[in-house]
Amino acid sequence: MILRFRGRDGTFRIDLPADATISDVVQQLSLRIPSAQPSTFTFSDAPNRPGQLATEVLSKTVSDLGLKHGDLLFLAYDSAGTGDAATDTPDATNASARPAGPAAVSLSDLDKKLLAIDGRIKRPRDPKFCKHAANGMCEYCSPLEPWDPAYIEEHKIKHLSFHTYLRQLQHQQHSEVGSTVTKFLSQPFYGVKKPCPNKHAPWPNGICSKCQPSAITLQQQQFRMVDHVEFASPSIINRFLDSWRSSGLQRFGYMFGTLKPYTDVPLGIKAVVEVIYEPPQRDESDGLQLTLPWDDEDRINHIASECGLVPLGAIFTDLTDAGNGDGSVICRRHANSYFLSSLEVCFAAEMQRRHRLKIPFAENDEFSSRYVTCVISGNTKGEIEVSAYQASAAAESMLDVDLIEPSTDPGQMLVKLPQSGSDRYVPDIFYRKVNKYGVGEQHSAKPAFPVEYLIVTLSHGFPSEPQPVFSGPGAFPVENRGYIGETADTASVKKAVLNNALNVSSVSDFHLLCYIQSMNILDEEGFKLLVEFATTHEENVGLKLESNASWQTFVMILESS
Amino acid sequence: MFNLHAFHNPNQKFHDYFRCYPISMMAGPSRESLNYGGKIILPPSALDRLSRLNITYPMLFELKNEFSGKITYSGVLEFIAEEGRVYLPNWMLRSLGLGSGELIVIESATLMQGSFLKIQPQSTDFLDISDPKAVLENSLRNFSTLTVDDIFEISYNDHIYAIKVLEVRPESDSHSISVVETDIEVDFAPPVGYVEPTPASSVSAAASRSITPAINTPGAMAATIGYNDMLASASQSSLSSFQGQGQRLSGRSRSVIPSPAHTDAKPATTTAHLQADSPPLPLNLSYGTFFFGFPLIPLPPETDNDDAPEQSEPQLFAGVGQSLRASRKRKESGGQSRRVRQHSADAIEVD
Repeated sequence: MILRFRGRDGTFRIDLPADATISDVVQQLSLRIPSAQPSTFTFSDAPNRPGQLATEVLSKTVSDLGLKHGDLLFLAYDSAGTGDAATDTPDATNASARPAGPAAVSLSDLDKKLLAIDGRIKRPRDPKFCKHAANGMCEYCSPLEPWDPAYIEEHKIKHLSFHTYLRQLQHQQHSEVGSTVTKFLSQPFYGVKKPCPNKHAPWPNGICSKCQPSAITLQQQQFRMVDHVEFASPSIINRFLDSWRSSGLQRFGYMFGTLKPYTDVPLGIKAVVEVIYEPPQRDESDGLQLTLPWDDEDRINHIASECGLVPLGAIFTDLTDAGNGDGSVICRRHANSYFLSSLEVCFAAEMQRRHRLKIPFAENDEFSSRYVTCVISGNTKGEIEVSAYQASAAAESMLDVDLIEPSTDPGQMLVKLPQSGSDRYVPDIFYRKVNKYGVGEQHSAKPAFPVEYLIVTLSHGFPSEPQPVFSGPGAFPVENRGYIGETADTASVKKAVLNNALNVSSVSDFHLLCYIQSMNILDEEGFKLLVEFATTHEENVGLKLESNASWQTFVMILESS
Repeated sequence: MFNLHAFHNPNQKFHDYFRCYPISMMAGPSRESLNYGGKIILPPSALDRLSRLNITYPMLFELKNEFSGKITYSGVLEFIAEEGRVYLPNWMLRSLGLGSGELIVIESATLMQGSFLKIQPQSTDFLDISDPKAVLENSLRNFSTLTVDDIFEISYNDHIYAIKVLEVRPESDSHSISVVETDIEVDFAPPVGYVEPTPASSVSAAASRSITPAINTPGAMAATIGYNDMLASASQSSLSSFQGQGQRLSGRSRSVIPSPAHTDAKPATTTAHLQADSPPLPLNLSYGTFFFGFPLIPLPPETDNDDAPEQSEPQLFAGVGQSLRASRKRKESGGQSRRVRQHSADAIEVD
């Protein structure tokens, strides 16, 4: 007799003698469906109905169950390898395998705030064209969308702000932010798709037009994730530069601060730097090397988050004294050389990959990054100047699949060609440039292409009325500066904290907080109070801190030392 | 064959008045090259008279502008000028201060053979000539005499060089020498407009080198990552495009290892003179390593300075077109032309 079994991998006909047992059936089925786990076979006589587990009736014969020649049974099973419990029907299996529906990440407060803003650019009544009364509105004075092409052209806007770009995408997709979450942001992907939807052997054994990455045409990124970098107070940069001033060696630091809306640009975002933390590093006059792994990274990030700060980016100096005796420096980075060397672009892109922006509008809920990279170098007048950059999303994605590598020529990024034996696939890469006749022409980016295609320039500045979170005098030794004789010890803490009565200006210093934390004298509550006092500058918190037991212990230890 | 008349008057001189013209006005095909020589064209009658006089050869003449008293000397090339005329190179007319068709006195003259000459090129272009000795030898063949304070012209490689005579020896009252059939020691004065560049720049370079070693000498990080070796290998790989070995038909292997010179004469690389155009090589440093010691590319000159040389260049075809019909644009800008239009509007509007 023949029995038919319908499962998710198709219908199978099995020829059986009349006295065959269920174990024979299972054995034959498992040969036909090698991907299934035989122990999870369930049979039922109708789809979507919980069936009988085969293992429970192995010894029974087919006729015992009342099956006749030509009967159709519905089969469900787990694939080999999945450890899930047996499910009743194929449909149920599929349903449970689907990923969870609601978005896993939620919007940050900053993004929520910016999405709530109307953001359109208001225009006054146009005296030339508007024919209506003062309270009327027509096409000449209605507010413009922030991404309006004519407006961008007119104001020479090089990069849209991220939220303007979001709205432009939204507009293109005719979807509403906030009401339905659609995944309209996507990080470019330049690798070979695995597995291929055409079901051939995966790369490098096979490739087809569906899984092969298409050619990349590099162009300047239309938008920027952060528009402006603001240093909360000039003394932050000044203090960072002190190490170069006293040693002549370059210096690297991580910037911590907050992200805020930036009003000078429609829907803009600014990164307000409150502190520069200098990790362990080996400095030279023509370079530097970070000591990796950085053991204290988690501790510093934790202290920063307690202060309400997030990692904003990296900053480093590239300064050489011009030798004029007037403090001027050599201008290395200008339009004819480079602004960010290929090595630094790769570093910036790598840092951005480690600090992805979590946003629910993106596939995989991650898109580019708000991590910025600042360089302190000489400008064309020989003055010391900060400039801020980001690597583009394309740079991150190219680094993801290992397409680029830095070169000895700082202005050129090399395309990493595949070596024999490696399974990297390097698609065609082009870049467009306007030639001397004013005509745009396409160049192959192999073997190298200008790094300008991978960087985005940000503006930077200082507030007119500085209100930094850390308002202390900044006299406490900065960490990891032992090589210029700046080392923090108990005496320096004592000097900073116990100079006179406890006040904000004496403890409001991130470097001091980090050192006090590393002394492990204050308990968690005491340290929290100290951080709160140092960042909020509120007197009643200070009073609370003074009455805290562990703080009193700490003061006692300092006094006796 | 001595002429009896001449024999009796050994000191008799050729002396005559001519009207002078530039070479370019001579009949027949154009002979521009005569402008770049020191010889004149006299009429045939002059030859007739000269041959009857007892003069020294080669024939040399004193040319005099009687009004200004300016004097120069020259040889003669041919006797083909129309009667009463003499054709002179342009530079000679200029140094005598004569115009076309003016009177000139020509006398026969005797000059000493020159032994020393000091000249001054009138522009720095002369320095671009790779072999000035050969050029001067060749172009001075067209001259018979050289006179102090004359600015003569030579043509070389489609370029005209003006050269002033500063000093001649042996010195004489005429301040002139004959340069025919003689060896002359030539000295050059610096060309007009020439600025001595070397001492100033070497001082500043030395100063900058001593103060900012990081620009010109590789720093510690460059040494750590071997940046110079990388660049050296990059430039070498670009230089030695045709690597490989020769094979012998006899089957014997070549005993000489190729290009030992390359490895021995490895240039002492500093970041100062590294070629920026050497092909980029991968710079694979560990993550977290920064390097700033790339070759310094100097700042481009400021835009203000760019405008200045453009203005100093002579502006060719710099005139402004004029239209009989007042154009619409000008009509709007100037009230006067608008009035013109009102007077005869219809006639002007028709193109």
